[in-house]
Amino acid sequence: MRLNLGKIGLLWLLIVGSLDAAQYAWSVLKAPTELHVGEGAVVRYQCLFDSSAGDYTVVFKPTASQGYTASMVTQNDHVSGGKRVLQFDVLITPTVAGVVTVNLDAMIRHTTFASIEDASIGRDNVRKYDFNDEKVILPAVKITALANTADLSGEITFAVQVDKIKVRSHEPVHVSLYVRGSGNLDQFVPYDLNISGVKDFSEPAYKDLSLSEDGYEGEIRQEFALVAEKSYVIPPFSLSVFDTNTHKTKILRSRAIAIEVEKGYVRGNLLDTPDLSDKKSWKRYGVYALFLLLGVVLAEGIRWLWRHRPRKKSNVFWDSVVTTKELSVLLSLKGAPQYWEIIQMLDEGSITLNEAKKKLRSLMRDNEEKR
Amino acid sequence: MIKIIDAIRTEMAKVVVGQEKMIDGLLIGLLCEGHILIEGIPGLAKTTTVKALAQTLGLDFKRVQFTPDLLPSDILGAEVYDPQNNQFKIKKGPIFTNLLLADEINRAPAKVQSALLEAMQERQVTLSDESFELASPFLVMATQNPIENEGVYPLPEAQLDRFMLKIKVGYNSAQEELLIARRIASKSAEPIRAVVNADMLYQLQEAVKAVHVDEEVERYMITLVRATREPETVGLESIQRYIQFGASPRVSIDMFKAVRAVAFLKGKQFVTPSDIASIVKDLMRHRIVLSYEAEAEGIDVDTLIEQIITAVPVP
Repeated sequence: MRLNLGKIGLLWLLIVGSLDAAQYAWSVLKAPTELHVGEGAVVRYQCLFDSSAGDYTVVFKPTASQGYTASMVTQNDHVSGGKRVLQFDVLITPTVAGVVTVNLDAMIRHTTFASIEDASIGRDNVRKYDFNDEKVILPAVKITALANTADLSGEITFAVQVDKIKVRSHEPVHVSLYVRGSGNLDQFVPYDLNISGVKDFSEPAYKDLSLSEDGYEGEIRQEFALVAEKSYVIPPFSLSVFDTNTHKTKILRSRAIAIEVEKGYVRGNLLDTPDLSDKKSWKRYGVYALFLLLGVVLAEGIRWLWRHRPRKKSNVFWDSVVTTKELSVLLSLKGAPQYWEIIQMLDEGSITLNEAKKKLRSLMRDNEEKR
Repeated sequence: MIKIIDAIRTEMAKVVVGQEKMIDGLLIGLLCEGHILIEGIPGLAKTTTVKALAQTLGLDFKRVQFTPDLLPSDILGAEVYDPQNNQFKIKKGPIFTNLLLADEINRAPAKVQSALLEAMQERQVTLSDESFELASPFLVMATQNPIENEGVYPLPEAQLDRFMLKIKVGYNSAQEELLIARRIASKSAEPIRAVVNADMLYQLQEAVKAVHVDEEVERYMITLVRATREPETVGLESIQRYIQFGASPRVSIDMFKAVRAVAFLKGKQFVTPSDIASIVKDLMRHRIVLSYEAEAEGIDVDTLIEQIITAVPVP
């Protein structure tokens, strides 16, 4: 490899950098002390290096544990004043009441000097990538979780829509349930409708959610198709929500919806009654009948032509034969060994003319296939 | 009796693959004491088949290769001078045998071919002023090659008429040809045993004569033969101009004999029209003389025979 000043400088920097391993420190910049169960809040962790630490990678994947759930909301990685700073916002949501200790860990990956050298020189007979991994326990965060029995927590609204309230028998009624807002919407449990005499064709709840500092934001939609033969009432949907602003639990409830079901369609409903007093109708029906008649005549004509089409005369030599004796003579005349069996059967009278012709046809087919 | 025929077939099958029609023709000739002319291109086992038949019969067999310079005395024999006894004596030729294979008969000139006329018809040979009776059975089995024109002499009509059957030999099937090639390549042909003697052959010939021919079938045969002479009698005016000479009465005689043998070979005790149809071409094809018109229009004698057979009502 030809060395130039730039490459030498880079190598020197790397060598010096690797010899002098960077120091880092983890801290918690922001953390709530008290939350209600189901109420989420951001805990901000920071990892501060004493250098730019270009050969370091931080792998931090917060995982849920007993008593809380943890999800990464944002992460930030920058160098400030020659020092590398990494900040992670993790959404912590307590799931049980009491004091919850959040213990998370991360992994610091240091790329080795050998690995850098191999990559920069281009050696192909060594492992190109080599790391030193170090597991780090992050500072513990203690949160007091207050009791909360509401179904969901956050700022949440609730709406129910029905496409029609009067239907015919077996005609479906579409009911749409919307839960919108932010909070622990990921914990939503879909409704199960049980109405006597009503068939429910509901689909799985559709969740369009994204993670934010306030928890999960977006919309959950659950749709039902209800089919019945008799009138029925859709019971009210209710949902208890802990409002994280007012710190109060409220019950969101829809109204009951009565669906009127009429008798189903009968044949008479589907067809218009013909107005026979109208001459135009008669004329129209006459034209229809004429077309039908013409169709029949045309079809019969085509059929007749097809039957009387000039056919190719069959080339088989036995077609004109009318007695078994004649056929036997004709086959013998050909002298082909393949006919011997049929000739014998014909002479013995153990086979009819038609059967013999059938056998000959089959023999001919076999020969053609062999060819 | 049919077991003897089967034994002959089995022995012949050791060297001859397929060619059932030729073997049947030879057996018919043997059973009816009729001479056979075999026509086919070279390499179809004509000579091999005749030799194989002779071996299975255990009869005296002679072979004469017909060549352009052959003389009648080379076949019949001649009167030669014996200096020791100071007198002429008769030296019998190869015709004094049971089975004579006249190989490539059309390579010899007409005078040599004609030397066989007396022997074939009367089964005797006259040398000098003395007539000699030929052995019994006496059969001439001749082969000829149809594709060559140079150095060949067509057989005279009188000579042809003395052959009971003219068998056309075709190619073997692909499977048979494969078997032949393998057998020849590995030289695996078994030796042929003689399974018939003169007495057994006589018994067979007597059994053939005992096969019944119904009167109606007899009339049918005569109608067929006569139709070759007067095709208009069976409504075939259109082919009249193609036939110069129809089949001779010798055909009727040979047909009466041959159809019995055909039925016998099939294991039957009576003759049916199908037996006639299966042999009629071999019986007639060399005995009907076509006109120039037929030759000019490329009319084949076999086609004419087929037309006649189709036109004559079957009893």
